[in-house]
Amino acid sequence: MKKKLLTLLFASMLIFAVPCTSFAAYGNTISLSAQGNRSDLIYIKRPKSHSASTSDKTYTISAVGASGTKVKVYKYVPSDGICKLIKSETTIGASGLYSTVVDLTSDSNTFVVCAESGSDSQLVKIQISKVKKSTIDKLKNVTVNVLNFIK
Amino acid sequence: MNKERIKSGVLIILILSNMVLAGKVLINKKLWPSGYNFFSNFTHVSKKDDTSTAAHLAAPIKIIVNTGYQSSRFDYNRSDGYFSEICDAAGLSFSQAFSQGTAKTTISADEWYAALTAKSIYFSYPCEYSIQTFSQLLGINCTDSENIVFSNLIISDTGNVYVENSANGTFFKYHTSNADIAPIIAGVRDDNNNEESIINYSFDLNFDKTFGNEKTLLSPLIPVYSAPVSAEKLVAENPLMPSTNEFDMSAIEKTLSVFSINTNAVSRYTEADGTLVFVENNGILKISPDGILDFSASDSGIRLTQSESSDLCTTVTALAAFVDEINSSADLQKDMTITSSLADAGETNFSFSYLVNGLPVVYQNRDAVSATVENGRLKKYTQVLRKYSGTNKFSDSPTYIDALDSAILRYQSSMSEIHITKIYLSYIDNLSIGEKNADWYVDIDNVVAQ
Amino acid sequence: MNWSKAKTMLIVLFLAANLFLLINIINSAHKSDAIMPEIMTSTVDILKNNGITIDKSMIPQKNISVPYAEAENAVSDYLEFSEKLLGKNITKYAEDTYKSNVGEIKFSGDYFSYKAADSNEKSTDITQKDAITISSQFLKNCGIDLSSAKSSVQQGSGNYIVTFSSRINSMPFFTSSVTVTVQGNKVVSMDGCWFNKTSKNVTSITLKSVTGVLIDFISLPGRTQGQVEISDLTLGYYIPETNKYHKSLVLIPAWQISLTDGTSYCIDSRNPE
Repeated sequence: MKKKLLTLLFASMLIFAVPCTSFAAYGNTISLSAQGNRSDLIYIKRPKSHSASTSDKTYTISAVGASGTKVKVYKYVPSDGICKLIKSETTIGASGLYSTVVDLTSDSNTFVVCAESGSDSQLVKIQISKVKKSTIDKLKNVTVNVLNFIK
Repeated sequence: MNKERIKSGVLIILILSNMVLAGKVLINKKLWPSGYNFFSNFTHVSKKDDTSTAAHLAAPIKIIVNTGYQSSRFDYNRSDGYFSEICDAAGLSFSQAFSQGTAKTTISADEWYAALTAKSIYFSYPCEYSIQTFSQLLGINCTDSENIVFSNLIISDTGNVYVENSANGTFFKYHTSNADIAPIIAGVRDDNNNEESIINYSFDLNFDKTFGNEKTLLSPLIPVYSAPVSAEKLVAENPLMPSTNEFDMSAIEKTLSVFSINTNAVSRYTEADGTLVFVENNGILKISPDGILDFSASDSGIRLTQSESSDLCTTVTALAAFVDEINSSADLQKDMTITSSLADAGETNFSFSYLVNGLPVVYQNRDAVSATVENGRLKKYTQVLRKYSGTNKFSDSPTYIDALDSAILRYQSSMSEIHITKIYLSYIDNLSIGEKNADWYVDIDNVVAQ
Repeated sequence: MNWSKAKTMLIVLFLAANLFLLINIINSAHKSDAIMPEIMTSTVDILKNNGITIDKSMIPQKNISVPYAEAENAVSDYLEFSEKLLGKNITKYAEDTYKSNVGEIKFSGDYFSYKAADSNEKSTDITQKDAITISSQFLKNCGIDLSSAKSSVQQGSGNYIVTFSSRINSMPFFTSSVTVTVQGNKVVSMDGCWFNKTSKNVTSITLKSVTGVLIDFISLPGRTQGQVEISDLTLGYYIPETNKYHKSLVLIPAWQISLTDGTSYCIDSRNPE
């Protein structure tokens, strides 16, 4: 009986604790596997499919969200196995628009856009690959629509 | 010997007095035979020079050199050294495109936008032009008779000219070649080798399309700057009222002569609010203490063009020359750009803005110059009398998004959708005299109410 | 070469040339000022053919210039002027009309019209001189400068009507005059408009020939038609429109042409060239 009661206690603690982890405000680092509890706080406009390739050394991420939504951007550091804060908190204003420029320091770059509103949050992973310019040029010569390729 | 000296002295005196008397005859108008004016050639004023408004009627307000990377797009305005060089090179492409019957093809919007993400030069104009008027202003004999209206042009690195026809939302490419464009793009990129200049177009960021519930739409070609822009602070002054409540009458008289107002025949008085009024057969000219000049013609108006049926190009060029003459006479800010549409051949209302450091000066609810010209005659003319000087002090503009948020905040509660047609750096002048900072001007086309 | 002889010849030549130029300059200057007798005669004839009679001796024989003059309206602000007359407790009860227990004043452009509240007092104890003194003091209190003004008095029924006419640069300022009615020891009404001279500018304005002004009079709109006789021709200053308010202005030199029927007309006499 005692065992059953303890199991029930731990189970209920687990049930209440798990969502609570998502209620906590994100700090200077987050795990790549972290998930929010909402999917409608922020809408990523660029890159539309949440992944893109470019030969540029920076990339502009754009998004829309409700006024008052707080947005942070993290970058995954493979050597540390954790995402570190690269863009500190910005609040979306009356326009609902958000944009930020991120540096592409390696061939494969993973970013996490974190949107928070009150106790709710949404985390979106974005993958930007760096491609050599010569590859882009070759592709241009094959008359591929460049805009479709680099989204 | 003494006698000779006296004779020499007398002769010198007689020669000098002869010169004085002859000079009196030349200068004194009353003594001239009627119709003679010895000095007419010396008083003729040259009306058009390189910095004049008339010479820049077809000049872009902004040029963006696209090097193929978002992190190295560079913008130039009329105050930058590269500006003239780029415009001269572009002129060759425009000339080929519009005058030589060069084949043009209809292209998709995607190809138009692709041209901006590749190596190219983007020209943003301060107003809309018909292709015929634009060509005429550049001295190009246009052979394209299609109704094409545009305010944006792109030239690719190979010299092809891309046009967006805002009359019907179609896009064209003129197949031209110009070997001068690629070196310019390469030169700009090399000159700014290690410098980042991140400019995204609104379409780059998909801010021109709605997804979901957002209310704000930006026009596709609005350049979005990632960082605040630094600009020089200015000081504004009214040259016709250099000190408080005292007009500079000699400067005003020079200005009156541009309006063909005869200072010997005009009635001059002051209204209750201190506005100076000049009434003559030609019309009424008022100058208010806060520096607004307002002219209304009483009769048919001041003749600007030789013929009553002059085309739009001739009319606007004559008006621009008139504006330049006023700016010169009254020592006003000399750089100006046209801001009213030149798309309709029958246009009669025109407006101009001052340019300082290549940036436009924006006033609330008025233009720097607005004029009505009918049948080649100036009927109405209003001008904000201002001159701007640099202070060598610089300030950073607010960020782009912050400026957008502030502008939209005014409409937030009533709108369901809000369309932004233009955002550009400018000096906002509330007509007070003193220091001015550059700020983003947000042009909202319409607000769709709930 | 005999320089001495050459010098003598040159002296004689230049002397003759200088004399010629001098006579030419003096002659031209004199001609431009004087009006030729034949022009005077032609003018009189043209006027006669248009039904206008004028005594030739009335027409000045020389062209005249007058000093430049600027003036400021004695009414700098309707409310301020009203408070000077009516006290601080005034009310505006109609467009440009103010009232208090002292009286009422109405404005129309540059014109003002004042009526005291109680105008029934009748007395003939004051003299003409008193009437002038009372009205002068009243006007000075209103900010009207009478230092160059001319006054005339008419005795009415139980009152005196004093008219002050402005003079500027020793010439009449036709439009600027005020008529004051004095009854007993009090000013009961005041009408007119007044401008005080402000400029110290000493430049002169050259006028067009008076014969040209007389010819202009023929086609002046609104003048008396038919057979008329010019009784007076006076040079002064005027304001073309007093139905608008002018805070300050440049005075326009004008010839006032008065007819025997009592009407007068002012014609802008500035030379537009």
